[in-house]
Amino acid sequence: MKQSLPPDLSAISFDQEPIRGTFYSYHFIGNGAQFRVYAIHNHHDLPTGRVIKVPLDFDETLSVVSQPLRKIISYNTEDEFQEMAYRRTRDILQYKHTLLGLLQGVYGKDQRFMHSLGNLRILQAAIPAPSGSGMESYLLPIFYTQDQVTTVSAFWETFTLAHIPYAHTLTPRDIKLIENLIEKMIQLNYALWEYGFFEFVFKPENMGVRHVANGLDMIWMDAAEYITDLSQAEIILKEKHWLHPTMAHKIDYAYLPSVLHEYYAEACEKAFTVEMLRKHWRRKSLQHERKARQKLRLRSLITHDPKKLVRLWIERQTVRSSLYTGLKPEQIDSMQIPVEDLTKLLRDRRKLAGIDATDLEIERSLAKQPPETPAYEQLLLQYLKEQ
Amino acid sequence: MMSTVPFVNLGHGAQFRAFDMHNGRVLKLPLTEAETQAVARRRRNIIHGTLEEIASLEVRVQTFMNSKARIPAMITHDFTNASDFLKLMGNPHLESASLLPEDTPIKKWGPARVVYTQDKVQIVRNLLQYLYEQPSVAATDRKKFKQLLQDYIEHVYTMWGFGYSDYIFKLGDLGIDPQGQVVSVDLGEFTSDVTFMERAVTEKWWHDNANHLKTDFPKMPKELEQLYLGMIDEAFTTDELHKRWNKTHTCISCSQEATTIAAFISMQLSEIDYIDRL
Repeated sequence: MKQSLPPDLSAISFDQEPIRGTFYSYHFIGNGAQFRVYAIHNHHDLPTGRVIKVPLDFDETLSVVSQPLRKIISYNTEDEFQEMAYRRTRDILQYKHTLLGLLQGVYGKDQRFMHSLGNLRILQAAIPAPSGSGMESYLLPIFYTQDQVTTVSAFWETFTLAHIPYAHTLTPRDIKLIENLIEKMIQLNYALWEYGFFEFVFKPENMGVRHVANGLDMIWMDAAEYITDLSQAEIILKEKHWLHPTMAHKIDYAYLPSVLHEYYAEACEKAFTVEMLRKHWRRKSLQHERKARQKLRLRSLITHDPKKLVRLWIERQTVRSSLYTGLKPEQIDSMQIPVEDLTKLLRDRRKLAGIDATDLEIERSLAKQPPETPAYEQLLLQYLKEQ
Repeated sequence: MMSTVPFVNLGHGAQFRAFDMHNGRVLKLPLTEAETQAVARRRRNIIHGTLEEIASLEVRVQTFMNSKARIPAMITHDFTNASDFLKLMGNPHLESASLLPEDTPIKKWGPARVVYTQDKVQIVRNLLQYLYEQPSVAATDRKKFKQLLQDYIEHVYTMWGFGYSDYIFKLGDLGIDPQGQVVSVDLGEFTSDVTFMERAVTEKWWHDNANHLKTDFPKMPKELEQLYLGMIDEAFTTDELHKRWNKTHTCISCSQEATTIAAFISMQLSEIDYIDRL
């Protein structure tokens, strides 16, 4: 039997009060379709520099997904829409499980790669199920902790028309910053390709950025939308999905400020080619596999037991799969967050954000105006006057 | 509060889903009847001894569920040298079946409520896949493969000595432990019925490993098929089966409780297997 869609959770009022835990407090930052994100503050209420990602359940995911989905798909009946929303929700829940794969085996051992993921760590604990919920006595959700960064889309707010009305008003410092940012984004994608991961949505909001001593540092903040199939990745590249943030009608993407469109498209056009993809694809993985095979070969030279030799031979032939499995204690969060805090976080239903009326959204609306409406710059001036 | 390491899904067959416990063991959770049906629908199960005859979906699902139900009796058998027996199967340990919720029309396990843990081993399926993808088989690989088959034959003979045998002979379902010992990882395809095994041996069911119509069997490169069939045909004969069957089987249960009724019930109930008995 079909259930009706849950109430629109985004309509629930925003409560800024942090969740007070045993040692830490948790300040809600925002949410995607998979996690609610809270900044972790210490007992002096100062940021620890880490965030905790709390998994959304089915109803929450459905609620977050339904709002934008209704605007981008066509459907004839409400039942048909529900069916599509459920399917999309199930897909998203599935993607969430793939996140663990990024921390396993050699990936987890590579500190630079882990840095690219914002030093993502796992936090799993048995949490008592709400009484009378009809569920098992314990739930075992997987939380993640990660370095706290600003989303690239929030960073882009600096370059919206509200702040920079014309391209020529960009200062040399701005241009350098933009160049640096886009270059970092390209390099981050290359780093992922070298391990055979392809972030296929090119969503700026999936990336995070922070200032470091020598400039900017970019991380793959929302690392759940990736594929590992090269041929599929090539098709997506040829379709230039990286242009989606510049398309006003792609409302499931954070809109790229107009002044950046040209530079962004030009840089991506050069960087995101099939040739570059093939050049980088699994380069690091292959290095690891080669090294592992060499080690096993050396071990087999000093082994005389025929049974053990067979085992080493099998290990050598199967490094391509075995090298990428296994989680180490280093991947487990060490902040000692009490289970009571996790329970509070998991049950926090106050905050789920829809799309805010940010400058980026206003700018997207401007870009969507049909040609017969007043000239773009008139609209812009009108908007600026209203501010 | 200590955070625990999430068990990672390693994949599934038609009977169980395996999870890495990160302590050198795997946890096996039984598929529900609906899940089993979904897996069986994707497979092409030719009935042994026929060329193209496909068993009905219902029959295949029942076979998978029933053969799973036999596992507890096998791994809790009171062998005096139980550790030697269990080692051959990666030291399986039964977890409480009560961990599974009551059957509902959607989630149904029926008699196949079996949860167990087992040693994590190198799986031969991955090796076969790798070799199959290679343009040719190197002489050294051939030599190692031959050694693997010799170890496998030795493993099956030892199992026969205990009075149990895998009757599917799926090469890909073998594992190799850190000491290089061959281990059977798929425990849902074992029997203790020698008459039934005689049929499996006479009909050479291991040929399914080289039968390209049997798509649920991981395949070895064609160049290795003759080596495999030659060695196994020579080793697995009814003479060898009878020579070895039950010869090292020493246990408490069988000597004390081998009554006519127990034997009858055991034969009638625990060995029901639709496809293979058709």
